[in-house]
Amino acid sequence: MRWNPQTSKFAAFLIKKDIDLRSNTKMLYLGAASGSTASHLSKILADGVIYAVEFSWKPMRKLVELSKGEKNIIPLFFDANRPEEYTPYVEMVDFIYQDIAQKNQVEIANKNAEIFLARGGVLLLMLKTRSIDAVEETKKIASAEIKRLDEKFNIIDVLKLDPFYKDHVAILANYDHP
Amino acid sequence: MRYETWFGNIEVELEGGEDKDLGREARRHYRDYARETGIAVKEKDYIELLKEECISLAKAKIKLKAEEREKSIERAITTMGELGDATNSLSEKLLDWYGEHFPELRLRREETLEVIAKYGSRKRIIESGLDEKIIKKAKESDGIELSGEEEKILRRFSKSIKEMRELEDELEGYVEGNIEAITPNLSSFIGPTLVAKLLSLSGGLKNLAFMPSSKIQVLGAEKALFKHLSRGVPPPKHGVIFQHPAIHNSKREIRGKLARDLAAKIAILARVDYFSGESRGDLIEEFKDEIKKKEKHK
Repeated sequence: MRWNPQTSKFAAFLIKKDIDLRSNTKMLYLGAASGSTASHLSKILADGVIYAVEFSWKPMRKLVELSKGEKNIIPLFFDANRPEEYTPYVEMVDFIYQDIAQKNQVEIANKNAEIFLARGGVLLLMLKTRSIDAVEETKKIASAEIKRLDEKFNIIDVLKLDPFYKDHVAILANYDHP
Repeated sequence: MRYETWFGNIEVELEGGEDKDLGREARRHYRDYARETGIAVKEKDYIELLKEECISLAKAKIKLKAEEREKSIERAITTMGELGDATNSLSEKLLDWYGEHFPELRLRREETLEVIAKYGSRKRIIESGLDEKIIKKAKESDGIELSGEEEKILRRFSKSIKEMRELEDELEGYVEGNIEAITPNLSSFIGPTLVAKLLSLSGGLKNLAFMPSSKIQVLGAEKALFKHLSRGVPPPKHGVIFQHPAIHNSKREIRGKLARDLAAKIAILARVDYFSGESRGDLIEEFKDEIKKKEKHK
């Protein structure tokens, strides 16, 4: 199946910016849904692993089916708001990819990075600004949210995802945990 | 210090200084610990075993969630049934009452309710733009007169029944829309309406999954079944599954056989839905074909 930028924010992001994804990357994917993006990523990260966290049972059912056929997708039925619950299963990762439409998106990213993101690791946060404020300008929301990111993050890039996604901003950052 | 992982508890040494976070230190070396413990000796074993572990954990949790959802749907199913009984008996009361006033109005039940709610007394019907025949009947009626107070009550009564009917429809929509999520296979095999009835009769998917097909076959025909058991009259051929078109559209002689076959397939799919929850389109196609063939051959 084709990787479609209309249906995958990661694909839309890659069209706008080329990033280096090594094949042995260990990735924590927060908000994996039914796993269509994860299935594409699993091919790129052929020697790596994707820890795919999802908390809704209907998409999780599909994700479980999918992971049976892909050797490097680990389905985790957990709430990304409570990372301490999945610490027994997830090792340190080099990459956190987050696509969660929640008001506290940034807080979720901070919490998970603190626990799982290795020093020098990367965060790619797909910020859905409409989940934070229904009327405020996307730009304003994004800059306010970026300020709330943990100070251990160094922002590499901030990109709008239009025309593929309205009101979405991709934040790419580096993690500098001591 | 002790640290909990999916492959058991591990002892983590914290050497101060560089990284004081025990968890981060432990997670940096999960694979090494797993190798030392002898759990995942080869690198790729680690991921494979972890995946298996997480899949079975996720499956168990999905089942739990599905059961919670199922309870809410079952509540809706029983409410739906009770609401149906209640509106039926209440509308009978209303029609009896109104019949004293306008016995000649012979419309279907739903239409009568509509007329009562909208107009009420014969006087108002005569003034309305309703069908000529009805107006004529109203003029010549020999029913008793309605007081203003009675008319008000009857109109209100009729409106309430209509609202209860609407609630019933809404419930039915909710049940049918959500029942497919918990019984993907059964719903696609016999349709959500019949699944809802089977679930309410059996007391839930778990019960249905543990039921022998002979019992499923006569669910909803308990009265006939007990009559058979106690007095030896012939047993019922089918319960609520009679509503499946393969049975009620077939000739009387083969209905019993079809009901037996259909119940057997329902039993299998109920178990697939309860124990795995995976959609088995192949199985459903096969079963549908088999039933179709039997409809023709016998």
